[in-house]
Amino acid sequence: MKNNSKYKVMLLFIGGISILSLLSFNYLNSNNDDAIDALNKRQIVRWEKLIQETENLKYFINKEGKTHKKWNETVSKYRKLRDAFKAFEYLGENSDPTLFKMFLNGSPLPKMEENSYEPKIIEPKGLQKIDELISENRLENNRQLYSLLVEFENNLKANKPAKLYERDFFNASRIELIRIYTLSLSGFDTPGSNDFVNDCKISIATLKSDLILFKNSIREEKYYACISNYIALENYLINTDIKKLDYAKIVRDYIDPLFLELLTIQQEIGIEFPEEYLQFPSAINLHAKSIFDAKLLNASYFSRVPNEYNNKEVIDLGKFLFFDPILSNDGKRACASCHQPEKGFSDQLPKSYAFNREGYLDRNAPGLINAIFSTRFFHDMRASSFEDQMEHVVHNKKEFNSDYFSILNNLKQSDEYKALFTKCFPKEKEALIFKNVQFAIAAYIQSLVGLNSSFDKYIRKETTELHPDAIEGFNLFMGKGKCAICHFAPIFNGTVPPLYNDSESEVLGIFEKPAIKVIDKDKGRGDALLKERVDFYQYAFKTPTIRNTNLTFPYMHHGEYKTLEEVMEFYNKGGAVGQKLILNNQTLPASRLQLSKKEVSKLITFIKSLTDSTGLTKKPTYLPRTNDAKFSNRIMGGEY
Amino acid sequence: MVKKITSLLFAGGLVVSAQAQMKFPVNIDTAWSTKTVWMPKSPLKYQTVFVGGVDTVQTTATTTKDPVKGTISSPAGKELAKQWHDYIAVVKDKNKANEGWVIVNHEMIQANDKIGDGGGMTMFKLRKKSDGTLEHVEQTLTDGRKGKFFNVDFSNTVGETGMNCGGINANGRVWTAEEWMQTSNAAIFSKGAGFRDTSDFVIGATTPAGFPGFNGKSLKRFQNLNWMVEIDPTNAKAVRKQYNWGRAGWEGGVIMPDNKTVYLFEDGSPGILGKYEAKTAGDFTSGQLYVYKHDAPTSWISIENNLDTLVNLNTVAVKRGATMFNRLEWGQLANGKIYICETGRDGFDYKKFNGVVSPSLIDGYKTRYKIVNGMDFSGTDAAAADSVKNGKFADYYGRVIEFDPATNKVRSFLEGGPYTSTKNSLQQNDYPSVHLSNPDGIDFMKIGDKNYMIVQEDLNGLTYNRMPGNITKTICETYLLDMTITNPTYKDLIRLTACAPGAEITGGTMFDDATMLLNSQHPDASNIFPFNNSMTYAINGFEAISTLSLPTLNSDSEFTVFPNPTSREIFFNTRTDVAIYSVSGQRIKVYRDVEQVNIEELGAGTYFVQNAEGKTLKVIVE
Repeated sequence: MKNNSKYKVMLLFIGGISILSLLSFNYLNSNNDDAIDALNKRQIVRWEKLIQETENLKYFINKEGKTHKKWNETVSKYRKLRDAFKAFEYLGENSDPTLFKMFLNGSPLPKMEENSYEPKIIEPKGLQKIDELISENRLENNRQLYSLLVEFENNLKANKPAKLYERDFFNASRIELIRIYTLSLSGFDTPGSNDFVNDCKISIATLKSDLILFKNSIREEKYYACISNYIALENYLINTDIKKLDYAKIVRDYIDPLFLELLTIQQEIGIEFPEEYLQFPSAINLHAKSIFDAKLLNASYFSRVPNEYNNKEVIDLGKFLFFDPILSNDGKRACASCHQPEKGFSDQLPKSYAFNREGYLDRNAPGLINAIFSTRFFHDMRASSFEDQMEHVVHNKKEFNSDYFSILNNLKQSDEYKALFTKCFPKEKEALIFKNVQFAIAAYIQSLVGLNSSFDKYIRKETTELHPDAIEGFNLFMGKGKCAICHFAPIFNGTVPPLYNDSESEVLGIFEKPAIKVIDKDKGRGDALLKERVDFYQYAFKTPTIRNTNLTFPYMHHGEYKTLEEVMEFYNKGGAVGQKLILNNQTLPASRLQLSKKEVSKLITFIKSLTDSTGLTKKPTYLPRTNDAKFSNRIMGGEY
Repeated sequence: MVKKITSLLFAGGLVVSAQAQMKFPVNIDTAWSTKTVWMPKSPLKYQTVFVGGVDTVQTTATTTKDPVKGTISSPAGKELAKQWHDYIAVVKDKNKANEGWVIVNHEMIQANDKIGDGGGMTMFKLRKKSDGTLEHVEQTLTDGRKGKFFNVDFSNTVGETGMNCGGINANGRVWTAEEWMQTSNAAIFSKGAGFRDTSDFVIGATTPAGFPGFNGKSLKRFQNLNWMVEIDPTNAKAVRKQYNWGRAGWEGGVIMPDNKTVYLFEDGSPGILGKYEAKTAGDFTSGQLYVYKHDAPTSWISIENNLDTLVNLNTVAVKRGATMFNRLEWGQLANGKIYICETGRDGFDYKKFNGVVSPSLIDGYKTRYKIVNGMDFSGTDAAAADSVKNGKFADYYGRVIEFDPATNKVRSFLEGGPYTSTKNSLQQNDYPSVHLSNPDGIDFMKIGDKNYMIVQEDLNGLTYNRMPGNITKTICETYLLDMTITNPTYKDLIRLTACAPGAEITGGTMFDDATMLLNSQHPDASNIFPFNNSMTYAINGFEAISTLSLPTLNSDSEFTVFPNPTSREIFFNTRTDVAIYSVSGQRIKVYRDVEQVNIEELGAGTYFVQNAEGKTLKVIVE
């Protein structure tokens, strides 16, 4: 290497042991340069191959694929394209996630043009849409297929692969493991063909062969552990009936061990992690040891609370405020009125009482445990943070029926609150201001994380015990039940892996009541934010987590589904469209799932095994004293 | 004992060798570093002056007709200021040189009992203190409101406004523009979340909202939106809607020094360029309206002063063959020429329109063509215009265009970029030093004796390398451009500031020679306070800067670091990989293949910077 002489100079300054380390540092360094050069070359070849396969399919559809007789050939050319795509994907998407989401492989649903002066809809495009069209096996689709392929190819050509560094290989490999598990194996990626085993084979083979490039840099034992795990996973997928895949085994025996081994290697050879080179925090924490690590997602990514305020004192203040009816106009309602800790922070009512007990709110009160892991709040997704969400509750005539100025006035009548705010926000000229009220409550809600359920512990191999029905239920959830294409692991909500930086809503066509087959007239997201009032969001609702749902009944946005069985039945029959109702843009597959009663009961056992509210249900022992007589007899958690 | 220690050390050595680090070890021995570089404090100081949703505005008594709840009357009081800060106008106080009124547009639609429905504006007054920072001035307005912040009263005067975006600021007068063209009352009502009063609006029914020639005429409520609206900046009150300038998705405008000629810019695909010539200087209620058609003999089409025509100005103009731009934003006059941001848009086509494609889009198309195809576009301009018209131009970067009022010619002045279709995808390292996407706000300032363009981005997407790989949020920046450079490119831009992720940076204008005001609009919710709100901030201290330039690289010399205290960046003498270490030798950041690194977030302290060859320098940040 050209810089040898400089190292020699440095050697003069340091001791004997370091000589050894520096020599090997130098030696390994040159190997890595070779490895990364080779990887860059490979990625270019993969890109060219993908363009070639796209061209082949495009050409074939245009020239020869005009009869049904040739359809098999179309499908096999499409398979070649998918193989090329899967080999290209993990490094490609790591470099440019937007390109993949918007153009190459986004969900087969319409999207909105970002930041436009008028709402503009972008029609679905990319491989998922192509997958749907191919599997429909209709010659009439050819024209649309052709033009989608032209666009796919043009977008590819316009985006030559970015230069890669060692870090890209390691971070992208681990993100790919999450992608394989959450998006490929669940069938999310192949909505038409469901041919995900072949996808996974290519993904795994690619990861494995790229790891071989780095062989000389990696401790031998770790290297062979990874390679043999890749091979074992490959073999398992090839040799197992797709309907009998054991998803719990896959993560426990193959994915998680690989996820951990690659982490260890990365730490040992000192490859930088995203926070050392990305300008902004990521939702995903690549220091996590397992895909079901309670710390896989950074709560701080989803939160506005400054790190310095995310401490026990502020959380405790937020807890007081959460249980204190001083926030509402009549001094009788608190956040905890509708979000009760022992009920998973819901109220187990279809709809909560409205202010002054005059009627009910418009929708069901959701549970709050793990609610932080979302980019949108409310069933209709109109708020993008807890703070925004609070603003609606404060002003809503049916909820707190109050405003910021009154709340601050009320709080200022309490010397204890004043002192608490000053203690929590010491740097501020005035500590008792509304944003600090918001920070405190948000910090408390953000602390309501329960990811140590019996299921999590089993998956993370902290225990070997879990009811076999729960395991089978999980396998149904990931496989036959198709639940995991909307409720993504590990939170099992609508926050999309592998980057977890965007939360989805779904159009299901939920009935007014389970027994009344009329689509509920609440249009959800389609009636919420001004800029999202488009056709494909009509009747769309946020995808909540299924964790703790045995505590947060009844279900759906209007709370009309009393039991999980009722919910399952609705899905089992393919939602509204599956039951012959007319609904545009239903995102739930309309085909029946054919789940037996026994299978439904296993699914529910699995869902129950995700319950964890340990340490989260304790209320404060008292409420801060106030000089305002109006509030002197207020009740912890509100009167109603 | 001794033996044991030796073997431990030996084992340690083995571990070290097995775990040998790639290029930049996790820890370094900081004693290696000899040379020290100082990064002085920046002469520029940031100051927050107005935060949406946090600062309190004084409101007037307001009455709103709600179709469900009936008439809602709110007495004068206070309310939290609206968000979505866009345009800023500064009107200096003639009597007090160090004071000026600041008016901020709110580009939003919201039903609000106290402030009034729609968007709106907030007014406040700032005073420059002797230490160079700003303070708010307590004011009492003619309508009796007292305080620091005031909403501009539209609903009691000219009718509501919505999506207040750009504007015009000339001779102490201010106009606000509303870009979001709406085509029905149902759309503006937005199920009760937008404009609740959808009754017809009668012009001149309430004083002082009348307009000569149109009084008594009635408009559908949605048709009373999207006009330029004059406001009284010192009393926070609307004056009149400028019906005679036409209704379009206006975003910006310029009033010429003759105080008669007005140029107007429309944000739309297609967007038009308008001109109004007043009969009498300063009286904009009577005169003649035109729209630009560059291939017509006089370059302008006259528009009759007829309310039916004016209400549908864009449609009428395009039907009559007007020049079609791709989203015009703000414009500003400099050296007799008008510079306008044509912000661009991913996908658009003008197939169904009768207008003519702007020469600026032809310039843009040819520039991109050359880079993508590696050769000049060989066809005629007409052929290029045809391609643009048929949707073959992905205009994702946009440009700043130059319009010369003397010749009525328009051209692309500064293309966004770089276009990278034949290059690799851009990575973070290449950003932000070389990137101009979707210019939106524009103004000018003097540094030393040079005139600089202040150009502000509003990214309307992430695709096509507008953001480097791996970043899934928009980051918008403000750049300065030395106006003495002829035929500038994005490479000549000097980065001044970036705003919070997800936000657009707008409003950039000078409070005085030493202070710039900027808005950070609709930031990502995940930013920490106050950067999670739309906010107005000041950059003070420009008087301390006499020249601006970019350092020249010298790859032959030894590893050297050039600190730039103003932009909080350190430049290297050559492109290299670098790692930054803390004072204790712990690796904090690793950058690959960079010429410069922004160290703003590191804060004051001692750091070590190591390059790819292992050479380490000590950097002390003040």
